[in-house]
Amino acid sequence: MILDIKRALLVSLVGLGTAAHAAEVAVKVGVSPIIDMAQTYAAVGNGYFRQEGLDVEAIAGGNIVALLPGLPAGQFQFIAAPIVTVLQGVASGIKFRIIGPGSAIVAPSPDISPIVARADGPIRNPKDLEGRTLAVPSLNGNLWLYSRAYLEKKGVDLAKVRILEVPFPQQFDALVSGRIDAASMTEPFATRATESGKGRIVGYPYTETQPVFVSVVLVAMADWAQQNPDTVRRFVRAYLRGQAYANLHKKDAEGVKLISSYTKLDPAVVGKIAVPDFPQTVDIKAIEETARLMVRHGLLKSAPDIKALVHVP
Amino acid sequence: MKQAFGQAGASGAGLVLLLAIAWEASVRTGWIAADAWPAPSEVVRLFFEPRRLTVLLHEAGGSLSRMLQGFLIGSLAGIATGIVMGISRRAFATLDPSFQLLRVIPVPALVPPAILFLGLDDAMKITIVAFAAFWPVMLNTLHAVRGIDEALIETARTFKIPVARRVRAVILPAAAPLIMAGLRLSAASALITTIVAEMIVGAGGIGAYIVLMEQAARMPEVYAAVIVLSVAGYAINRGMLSLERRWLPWNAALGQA
Amino acid sequence: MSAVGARGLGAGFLGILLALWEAAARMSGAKAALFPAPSMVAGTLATMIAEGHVFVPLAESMLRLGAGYVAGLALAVALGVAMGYSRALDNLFEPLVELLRPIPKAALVSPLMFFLGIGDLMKVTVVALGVFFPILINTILGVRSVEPEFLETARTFGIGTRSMLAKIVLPAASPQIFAGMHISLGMGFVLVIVAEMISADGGLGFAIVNAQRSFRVKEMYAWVVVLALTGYAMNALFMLLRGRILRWKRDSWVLEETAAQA
Repeated sequence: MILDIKRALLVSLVGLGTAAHAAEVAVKVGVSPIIDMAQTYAAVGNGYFRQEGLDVEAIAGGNIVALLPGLPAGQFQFIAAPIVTVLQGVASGIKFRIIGPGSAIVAPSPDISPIVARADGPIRNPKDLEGRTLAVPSLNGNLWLYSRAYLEKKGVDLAKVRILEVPFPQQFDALVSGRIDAASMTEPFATRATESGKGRIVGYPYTETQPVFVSVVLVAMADWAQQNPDTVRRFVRAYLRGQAYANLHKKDAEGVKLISSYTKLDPAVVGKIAVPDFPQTVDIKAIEETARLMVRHGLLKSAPDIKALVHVP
Repeated sequence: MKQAFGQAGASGAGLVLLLAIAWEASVRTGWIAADAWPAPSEVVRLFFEPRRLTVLLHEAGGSLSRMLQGFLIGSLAGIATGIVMGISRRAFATLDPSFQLLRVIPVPALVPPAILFLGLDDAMKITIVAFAAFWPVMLNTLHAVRGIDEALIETARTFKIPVARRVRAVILPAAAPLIMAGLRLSAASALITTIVAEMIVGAGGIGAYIVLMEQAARMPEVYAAVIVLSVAGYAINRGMLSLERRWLPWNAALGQA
Repeated sequence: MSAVGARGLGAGFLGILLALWEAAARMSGAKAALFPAPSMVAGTLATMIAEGHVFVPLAESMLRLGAGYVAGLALAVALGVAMGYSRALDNLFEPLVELLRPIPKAALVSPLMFFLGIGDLMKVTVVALGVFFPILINTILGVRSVEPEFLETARTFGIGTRSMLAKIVLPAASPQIFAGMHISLGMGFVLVIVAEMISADGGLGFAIVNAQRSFRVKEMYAWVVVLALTGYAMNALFMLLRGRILRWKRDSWVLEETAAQA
């Protein structure tokens, strides 16, 4: 009897051992060193992925949108990407599936992306933008869409506003030198603009248009996710722990240390800027609202079924 | 050579220094005030911070390694192709139309298909760099071979020198100066392409460093990286010029007495 | 070799490349959504042309390229002749030129946009800067290759420096200068596209980047095809002009032919 128990224990120990070994799965995740990716960096740095038996390699790029085609190409298995781009990809026949939340911009204001005008200029509220130029970082992107939606909500005639593309790092100089009249900025540039005394905030296109805006979502390819449910589950679990960590430590010393370590932002700056939210669930209603706006502003012909896109592992 | 260096060093360096002083003055006096225009003193100061210097040099090393590999592959292919196309009408007719279509495709348009088939790491970047480095040296070689002095070719023919020997003994030496100039242009193209590819994709190299610093609103670091690039490119060019002087001592075009 | 024969060879090779593309696209499986076959791209391209979407961006890019090319060319030849001829000038400018040349314009987006704005001036300047260097280097080389005897003879005849430079040196250096112009044509075109991608404001570059971001993959490749065809056309035009202008310089092919006849 004791021999049987010993044998059983031995077998189960060996079984566990091999199971643990077989459980080490290598996956790659696309990242970009921006604030919205804090959860991924936290999950890697704090060992959450390792604890789930995942060997995660981060593939970095300067621009997430440029990196995104790597997902359907199989160069990596997961990536947190801007919702507008993901939905456009889906509309083009790319089988993205939303498997987790990313960053969200949640009311009340202030949030991370104000529209900033010159402090000594004529623009004080959205209506003043008629007949003027507004810069957005990327035409047809998240902020372009919501800047338009915001202006429309405030009764501005969009036909009278000239919207140009100026990348974030160049917006402040362009504003101050008068080449543009206002810019939809992000952090840390927005805080720098206001702190310098030369920028004045006109409004917040995200939170003043929609109480919750799901900015970035975690995606994987439909086929791969279906064939690897266990890996997906483990990845998402660790990833959500990263979300919790990032959300909890948003404004304290630990969070500042994390964010400044990979973005290379000055820690003093990180302490001052607004940061997004890192929720635990995917807000389908919020995404449906975004899809509706995308149709309205010509980015999509019709809104896709968001519920069908969300793949809960 | 020492004389040439010394002379160039004096007035040329003087000009660069003068411009640097003007730049510093423009910032100090507040004449030009912009994020994009930090004072050179702020930039230079970064080079004296050991940690930052280490990071910069490390990234530079990565970039240069990728650049070198791409350059070697691309330029060797370029010279060989240029010679073949320069000698043979048929080769030219076959390859040129396709080449003219391919040569104008810019790096950002090449990256998506490259990512698809070659991945996101060094292999992809090196391939793109090789592609970019191919063109300048191929074109210069082609033009050089086609433009060779008639007398030389006539003589070679009269003596019925076989093609291979003709290439080695007559064509290559005559075309060498322009080929070397093409190599210098290809080296520059290789460096630029490496940086641009790194700016689009990847965590390593000066290109990625520049993008990271721009997004962190740290312009002095961006300029420090640009200076590293500038000095590296300068050094590479100087190195190639001195190689040229050694291999082509008869080349009056280099202005040696 | 006849002109028809030449075209046949060229078309044949191009055909092979297209067939390879088609095969790679069809066999790429899951990547198919991101790598359309030429047959599909052709359809999208035809629609784009039919709906008149191509002309305006193309014209915008061409105008910017033209302006930048002319500016870069003029400056490069002028400075190149001066630096090629005068050791003192070369010593003065060479370090500065060689320090600036390796810098990718994409790394200088911030100061470029600050000083030159986000519109056409910035793009034209970027093109001019890119066009400048290859022509400069090749011009210097060309000028230095001129046989000293020519210059001596000219001086003996009392021909002034300016005349000598314009009427003897420049023509003698023209094959090399044209080689530089050839390279710069391609480079300038690439730069105008890149500038339009960075400061998205019309033109082919913006069209490509816009299609890329919105995952309109077939459209993106269609634009790249437009790019390639335009580059081809420009090159053909350039070689035609080169043939006319350098008619006096017989090249090795002509010699091949005459030798064959002998």
